[in-house]
Amino acid sequence: MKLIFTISLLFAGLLSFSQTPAPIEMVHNKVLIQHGHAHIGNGEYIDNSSIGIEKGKIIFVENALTNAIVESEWDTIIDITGKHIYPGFIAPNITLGLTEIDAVRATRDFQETGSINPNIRALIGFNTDSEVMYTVRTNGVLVSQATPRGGLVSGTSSVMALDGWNWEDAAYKKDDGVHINWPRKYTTTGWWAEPGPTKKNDKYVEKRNTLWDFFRKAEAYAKVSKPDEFDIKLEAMRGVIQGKKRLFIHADFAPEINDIIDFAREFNIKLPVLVGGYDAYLVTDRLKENHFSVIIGRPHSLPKFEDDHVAVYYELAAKLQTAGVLYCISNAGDMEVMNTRNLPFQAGTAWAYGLTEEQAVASISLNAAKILGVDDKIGSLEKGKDATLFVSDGNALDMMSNEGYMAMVKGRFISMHNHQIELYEKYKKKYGLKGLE
Amino acid sequence: MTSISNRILTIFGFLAILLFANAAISQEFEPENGMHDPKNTTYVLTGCKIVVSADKTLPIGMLVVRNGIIQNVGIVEVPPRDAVKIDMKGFTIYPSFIDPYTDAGITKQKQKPWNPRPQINTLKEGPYYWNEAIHPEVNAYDLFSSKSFKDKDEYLKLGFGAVSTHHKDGIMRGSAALVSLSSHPTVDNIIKAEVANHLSFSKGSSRQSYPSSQMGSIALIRQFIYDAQWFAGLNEVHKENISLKAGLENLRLPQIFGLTSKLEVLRAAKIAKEFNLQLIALSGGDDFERIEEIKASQAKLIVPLNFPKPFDMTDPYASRFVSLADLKNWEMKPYNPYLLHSNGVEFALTTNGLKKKSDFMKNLKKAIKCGLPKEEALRALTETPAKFLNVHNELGTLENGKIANFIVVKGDLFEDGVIYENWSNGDRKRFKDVGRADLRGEYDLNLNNIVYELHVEGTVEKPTASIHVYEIKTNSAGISKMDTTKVKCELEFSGLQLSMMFETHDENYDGIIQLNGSYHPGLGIMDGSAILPDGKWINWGGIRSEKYKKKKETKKEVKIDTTSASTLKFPNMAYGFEELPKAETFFIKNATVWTNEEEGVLENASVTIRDGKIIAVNSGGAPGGATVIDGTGKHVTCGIVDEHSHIAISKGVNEGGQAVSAEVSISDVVRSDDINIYRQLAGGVTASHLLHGSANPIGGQSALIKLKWGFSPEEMLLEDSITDGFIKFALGENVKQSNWGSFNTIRYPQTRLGVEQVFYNAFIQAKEYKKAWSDYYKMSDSKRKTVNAPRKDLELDAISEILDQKRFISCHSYIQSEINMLMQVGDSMGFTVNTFTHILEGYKVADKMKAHGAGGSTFADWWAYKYEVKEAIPYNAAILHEMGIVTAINSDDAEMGRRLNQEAGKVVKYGGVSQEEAWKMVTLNPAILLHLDDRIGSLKVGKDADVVLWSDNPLSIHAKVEKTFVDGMLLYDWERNYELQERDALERKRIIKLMLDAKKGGAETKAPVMRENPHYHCDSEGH
Repeated sequence: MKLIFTISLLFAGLLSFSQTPAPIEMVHNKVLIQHGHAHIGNGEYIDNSSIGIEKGKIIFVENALTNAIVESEWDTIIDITGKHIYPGFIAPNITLGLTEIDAVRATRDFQETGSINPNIRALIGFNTDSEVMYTVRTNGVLVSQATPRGGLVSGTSSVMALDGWNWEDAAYKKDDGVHINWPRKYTTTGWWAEPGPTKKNDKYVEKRNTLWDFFRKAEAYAKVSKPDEFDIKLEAMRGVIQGKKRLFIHADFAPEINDIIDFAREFNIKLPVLVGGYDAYLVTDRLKENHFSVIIGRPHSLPKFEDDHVAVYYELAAKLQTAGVLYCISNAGDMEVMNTRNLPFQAGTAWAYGLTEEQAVASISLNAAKILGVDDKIGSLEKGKDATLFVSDGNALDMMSNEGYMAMVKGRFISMHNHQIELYEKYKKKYGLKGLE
Repeated sequence: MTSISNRILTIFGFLAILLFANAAISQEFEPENGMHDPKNTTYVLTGCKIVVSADKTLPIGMLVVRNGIIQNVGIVEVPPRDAVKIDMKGFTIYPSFIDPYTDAGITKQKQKPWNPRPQINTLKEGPYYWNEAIHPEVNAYDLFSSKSFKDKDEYLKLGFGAVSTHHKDGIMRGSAALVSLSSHPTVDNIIKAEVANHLSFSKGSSRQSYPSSQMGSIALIRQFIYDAQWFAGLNEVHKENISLKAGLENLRLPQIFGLTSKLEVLRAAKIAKEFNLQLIALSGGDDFERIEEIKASQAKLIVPLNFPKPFDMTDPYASRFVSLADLKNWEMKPYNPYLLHSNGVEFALTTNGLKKKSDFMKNLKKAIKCGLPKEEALRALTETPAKFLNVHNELGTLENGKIANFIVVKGDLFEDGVIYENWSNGDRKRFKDVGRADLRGEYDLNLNNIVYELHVEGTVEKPTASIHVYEIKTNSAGISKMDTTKVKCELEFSGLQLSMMFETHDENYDGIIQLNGSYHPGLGIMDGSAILPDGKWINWGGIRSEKYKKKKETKKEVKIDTTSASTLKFPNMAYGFEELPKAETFFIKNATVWTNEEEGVLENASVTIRDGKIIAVNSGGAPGGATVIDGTGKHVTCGIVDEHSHIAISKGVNEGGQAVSAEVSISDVVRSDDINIYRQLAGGVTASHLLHGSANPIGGQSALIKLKWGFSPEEMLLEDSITDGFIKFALGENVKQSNWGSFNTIRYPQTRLGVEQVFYNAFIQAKEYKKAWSDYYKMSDSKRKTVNAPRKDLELDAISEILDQKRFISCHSYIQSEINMLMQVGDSMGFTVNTFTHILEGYKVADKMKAHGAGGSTFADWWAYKYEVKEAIPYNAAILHEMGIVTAINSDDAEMGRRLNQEAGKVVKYGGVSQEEAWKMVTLNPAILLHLDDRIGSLKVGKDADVVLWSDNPLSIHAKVEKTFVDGMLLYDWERNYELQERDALERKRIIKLMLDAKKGGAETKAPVMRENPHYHCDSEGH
């Protein structure tokens, strides 16, 4: 029997603290995680769970009380009594890994010049050695959708594990979809310190037409498998037109969303995803009819209209849940990279404002996996899926009790260390502080 | 004052005694080309109703005008024999209007071309003030040009006779000139060359980087006045300064401030009070929203009538862009004059702000419909502006000796009246002919004994004519019958001459008949010659058979409706109160009470508040009259105190124009109607420290406010004799402008090395300044008279206050080197840094901070947004706290300010601080850092009743604020939120209906727009 009590002990010898932690090779073939409060991700909950992992895949998720086990069959048995186990949380629509320090231009790799850039691939810039990333996964976020920004067509995103030797190694799903920044009908005026009133965007129709024209071309182009002349941008659209890749359309307000739905209908977009969707709750019927799912904007945002209810953003998830629209929660916005680690608390807030606990878990796990098209591999603690999971001492959606205990990506244990913890230890030692954890 | 205006005044004085004196002002001096033109015609306007003033009307009388001056009004027994008589029967004479706020005849200053590099110093050479936005030496009379006065006729048509014009650019704009609108040369039209001093908060065309904020403009005005006063008191002057001299001179004039909102009126009033000036404020037209405060400020107002256009609210989604605040603004602005009047605020009206001047009368009539009495409208256009400009002896009413500025009106000026003539400075401008003969009626036209019937209709000015031809026609059956055909008749009528032409094909004439003739109004006869269709000339005549019968118009009664005026909310927007809440007695029972005191967290306990104070914590029952709130399963805490906030600030959080801007103060620019106040109450925040941004090493003074939603800025401010002042300092990337792009490499400092020197420089200067003053005060009175007083410097005053321990530093800081540096500056210069805010590397120098005595106010988990926060760690607060440093968690962000409880929860996660201690980091500890812990920060008997009722443990993700009390007033209630939303939705619907009606009534609409709320942090994008 190889019962492991503290994971940190296990890894203490493996890590060199002065650099970002290295991915840990899988040395454990069969791992059994026992007695955790399991939040499956699909809405279900097992209070005392028994989760079996073999060769990186989950082979069963059972109730520990009824699941008889033979200890000798397992390389490693981890008892997590009293702790919570979750599927690794998924942060959609984020530039994590694409930028390190917001204000340092040299570290910003998410926005190319030009306005139509479907061929731009976010995963190319995905830095697996990002220090920020290591502070994110310790809170349970283990997968992100690395997403480019800017322009009308920003580029192509990829679903990435927050662990790997390089981007190829980290990629969960390469080039999962193309992102469109839908033009806004109203544009802002003034400057940040003294914003003027919004203005009707005179270029709205022109920009919308640009998108329509581009999609018309892409549609025509995709009909031929070997075109006479290779068009690198249209080629990048082929998967979207053929319904193999997702189309993520970023917009917040109902007038634009309605145009987007018309657009998606016209081009027969199979997998349309609305990103942002501040007003999504106003048009749920149309969204459902047209098979839209929604990645909702950061719940910890101010209401966009002065007259809106103070909790309008907190309650958005619950409204979409009630309406039966498939949605997940994102954390995009100001300083989003470092803020990705707060994704569990975004979901927690949605829990406080109307979701059930398991719905809140789903909103950053299985729902996100479905929307990004990776639910065959991740997103829930279910048989056959990757062991990409997270164990927290307490409830992970509450900042008071979110305390990373261990995590796995594709069945590999990942380091729960980061340079912030290292600095913490260093200065605790300097001051001889004992009282702190 | 110039010689010209002196002359004018002398002449008026003279006139007052000798009414018949002849005074052809400038022509006396100017050599004449040709024969002498005495220009002393006397006019007598007779038979008219005379509105002498808003309070006095003569039903019928005469007006004698000689040489541009009113000589006599009323019943004149013997009009001068040499007078030109003008019959004004049926007309009303009103004093003409005065616009006290224009830039008539002054070419607008062109915006200087954009240059990405900042301009630190003035580019204006010469003996002027150091700031290009300050140019009191500019005189409107120098800039005025009649050629540039393109809209003069528009003013005349509207009934204006004089306008005060000024150079509408900059902060201290110089003097205005009062100009009458006659066709005389400018030299005769300048009634008063220097009639008012103009100021504003907007720096206009100046590209100099200072000031970059409204608080900077305020400080600049104050400093300039102190400088001017100081300069005037100097015993020896070795340098001239025209700006300082002119600026001081101008303070003797009426002080007119160009402003854009009610809060700016209050801000300007504060300045006026400081310098004992009477404020005349061009308002934003929204004064009714803070009417009590404006009234108390004793400001006089110049009120625009630029009422907003209704929005096109057809699209329900697009209409959401228009906030209730903007809807109410549209609805209520026309009531502003009425509400000012009924509250006893003295005001004049102006055309300023109107896109189309022609809308002036239309909007004035709207204001009258909204309750403004007509006589008050007249007063606000005549006597009041005359009084404001100190020319009430010359203008404003029709009294003997005053300038003959009046208008001749048919009908009631404020209803359906039509202005026929506008006399300005005695110069008669005619729009319509008062003596024009009325040709209208029915005539028998005799053309060689063939009679046609002529009908003249239309208006007196534009009569139209038709001819009725009578014919006897016989049909095929042999039956004859009289037939009438009406044909159009061209008519021209000028003076008493008329020409007509019509075409007829009857039994007598077949073709075109052209007539010319004279009209004899007394007799109703016309005669002349005509050419018949056959080319022959004949004589013709016409006799009036019927007088013109006016179609009976049902005169519409002007309906006065002031009901909307009572729909005001505090603030006048979504979630505003209908009535301001009062402190009440509340008894919250059976709750978990977080005292922040020795008692710790009490289970099943009660809190009692009365008269704005906490009167019991877990003792006694509900006092009489108390509202009892059952807190079973709930938690009660004191309100959250945000040590670092930038909400509720107007027009700029940074005065980044200079490295040191200690003279500016956020408390000058508190914006009480920021929705974020309400939103933060919803997050349990009850007090905020509003800080200047971090654009410069020594920023501005901060404001401490209670989040008293609905109240005025002054009522929110927690500033009294017992509160300490605070000031923002900043270090690092922001102050060295690292992230401001490659053009901002000019302002000192550009390195951390320079930052240190800026501090030393400032404190050394402040010490010398203090010494200079103390030396000066130590002198004997007689000695003091012989030396120059030190110059009062608002910047050094504030820095001296730091040395005197009256003002305390909250310093934006990140990395250890600079934190170390400032503590050393402090230790060597004799001050302690009260609070390091942000302080993300505080954990690296916690021991030094402890030794220095600084507190820390940090973010729970921010980092990586710029290079200097690369080593920021979320365990910072835990280490600081464990090291015995007073540690707070702040927001610096309007959104996060709503969830500071969650941020405190993170401190439990990162470093395992106990829940009670974590909670103190957003309540008691910031209160300690702000020196307010004797009043707020815990639930203790005697402290302010800033209390929050939470649905759950406030540190948990489940915590929702159910109720927030500030000073014992229930200002936020979760349940009420939904009620308010419903109320506001109905209110929106009501106003949208009114907008639709306005649209149907022909009003122009505009597309819905959203007014965005400024969202400041000191740290985003390096600002």
